[in-house]
Amino acid sequence: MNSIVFLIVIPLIAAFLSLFLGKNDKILAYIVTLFNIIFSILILFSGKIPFNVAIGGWRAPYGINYAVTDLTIFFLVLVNVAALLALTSVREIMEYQFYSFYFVLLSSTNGIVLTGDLFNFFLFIELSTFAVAGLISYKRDRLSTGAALKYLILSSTASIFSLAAIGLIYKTLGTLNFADIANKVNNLNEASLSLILILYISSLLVELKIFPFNMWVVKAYEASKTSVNLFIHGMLGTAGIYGVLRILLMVFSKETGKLTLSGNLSSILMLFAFVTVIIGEIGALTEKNMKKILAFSSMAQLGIVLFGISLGSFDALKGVLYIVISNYLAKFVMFLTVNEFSKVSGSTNYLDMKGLGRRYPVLAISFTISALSLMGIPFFAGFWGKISIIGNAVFSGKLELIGAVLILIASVIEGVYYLRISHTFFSQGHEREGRISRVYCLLPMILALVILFIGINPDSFENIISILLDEIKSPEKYIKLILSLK
Amino acid sequence: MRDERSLFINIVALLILSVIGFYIYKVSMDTGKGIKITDNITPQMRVADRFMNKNVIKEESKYVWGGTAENTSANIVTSVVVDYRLFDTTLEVIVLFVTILGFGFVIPKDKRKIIKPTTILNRWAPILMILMLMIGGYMFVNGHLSPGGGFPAGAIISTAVLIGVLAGRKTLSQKTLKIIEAVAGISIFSLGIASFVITGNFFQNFILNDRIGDLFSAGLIPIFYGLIAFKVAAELSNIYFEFYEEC
Repeated sequence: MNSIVFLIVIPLIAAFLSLFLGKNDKILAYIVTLFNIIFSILILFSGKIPFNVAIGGWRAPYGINYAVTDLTIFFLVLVNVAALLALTSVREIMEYQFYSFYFVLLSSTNGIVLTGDLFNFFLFIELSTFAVAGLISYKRDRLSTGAALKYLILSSTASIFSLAAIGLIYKTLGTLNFADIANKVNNLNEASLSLILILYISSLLVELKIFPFNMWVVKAYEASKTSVNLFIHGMLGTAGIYGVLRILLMVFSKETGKLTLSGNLSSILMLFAFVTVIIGEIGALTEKNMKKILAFSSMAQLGIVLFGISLGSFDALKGVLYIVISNYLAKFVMFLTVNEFSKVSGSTNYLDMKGLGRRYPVLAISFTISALSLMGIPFFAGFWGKISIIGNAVFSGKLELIGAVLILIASVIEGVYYLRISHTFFSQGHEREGRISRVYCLLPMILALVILFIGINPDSFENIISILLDEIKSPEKYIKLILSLK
Repeated sequence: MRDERSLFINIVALLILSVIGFYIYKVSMDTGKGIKITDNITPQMRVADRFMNKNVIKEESKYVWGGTAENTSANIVTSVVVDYRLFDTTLEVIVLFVTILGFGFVIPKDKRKIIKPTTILNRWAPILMILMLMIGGYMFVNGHLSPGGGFPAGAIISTAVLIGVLAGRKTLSQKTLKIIEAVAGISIFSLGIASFVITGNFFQNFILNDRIGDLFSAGLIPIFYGLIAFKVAAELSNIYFEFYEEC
């Protein structure tokens, strides 16, 4: 299965080709994205998972390797499907730079998920950073340029930290391979492991929108187009969650079968998650601009994800995966709905969207379903996530109990602002000129139905999650696969 | 009149350079370390002989060269950069590509008055440009034999374009640069796909069995370095144009 590298190489070639194709760039984008989706689904059903690919023919600890396991293929499909869904919201004609950035982002998010090498991972993060900064600044006005610069400064500072961490790892362990690091991490003393982790986590937290590193989020979401918001949310965010899961839980885990962050790093991460949730919810409560509300809300959701990860139990991790998938689907529905409504009403303020829900009930009901899912109401996908995180946190300790209470309060605040918006959609409004084609209502409806399906019938999704958890529980299998140990 | 004079100065510069080149060649032949490009008479010394025998640990210790793909390149650093970690190197080039593409978005566009370059710079620019191109070319051609390689070579070649920009001479249009960039980028990855078709692994060196230390050795490494050099040069030159036209 060496052909897995096509997932990265084909979009990069397309990035160069798009410099010359002009208006045909859009067709190229669809072709390449469909290729990536079909290719990853073919691999999913090929029956050869897990397997390991050595690039350049050099065996794992010496060269770069790509590993495809169950966790990888799950996130690979999510990232590529997100790319296609986000691409459907690109309606107007864009300049060639937009498509070049998009192709680089596509290839780099695929690379983040596939790679098994720390430096390669860093490079893909770097690539995605620059591509996203370019996409944010695409509008070329004051707001978007400022947002892009803010994001660039933050993420390049963070990438200096992570480069330092990579240097420290290479100096202490003499390797950059994920499996090899996981194999040798017990040789590290406590102090150097803490230093490396602190430096490395700081760069991952930028992608995850966690508190001290999340100043870029709101401005970037506000300043960019809806399609770019969906790129950031669906591709970069999902790949970032994969990176945290892989690196924190499988590479730097000292004992197998347990998340052990050295010292009190776990409680520090928990505090970060608390502050992120508080800032996100309160920010969204006071905001009137829909894009800003969604940005704050996705910040809060990722805070809950980090809280679940830092709890260090597998039941909580199950909840994390539920929240990841529910947030992934819900935000797509919400952004697509807001995109359509703001086109008709002419502004992103939700008070101007009064009465649109009566004319387009499909969109408004889809929005409400995803809002209920994010709040964690029973029989929606988010409920199963929140209940396993809270149920796990209540009996773990003092800090965890505070976190559980905080998540419940956050759910109430989410209920206030989301249901307020839904109510505005359905209240009496005045007549408007614009029309929304029924085709554009179809996609949010399907995604909302998926949320409902997962919520009502969680067993179907539970099977997938248990496969993923099995992989996270036993990192030694991953090590054996890549280093081909017996 | 002006063009004729500049043509004359260019011819004089070329003559001076060819004299310098001839003497370099003569000295190298006299000292026995000749520059042999073809291999019809087996030469005593290879191009990278000095580099291969060089070591930093002990006077008498020496590298042992096998015939495998791992040590086709006389310069070990090049082996690491363009063979073991070729994928990382190509991604670095893409990082440069993306940053420069996004550059035009972030930099504000105000018109500024451009100061006319002095006559001295204008006249001497072609000579300096030829020197820069020669050094840059040497760097990437010899990347697998001695320290150097694609990235520094590309930077040096792009300084030739920079001098042209400063001297107010039209050297390359931005469209040409774009084409160079895209062609080099696409061919790097096409070579990767070609090696997938031939050997079954991406970015594997599939031209083997050549003599270590020769100018034409190390299989794909010099080709990759050349492509990287052109790509880096085109990208950096793009930045200069961007600054010059938009400041």
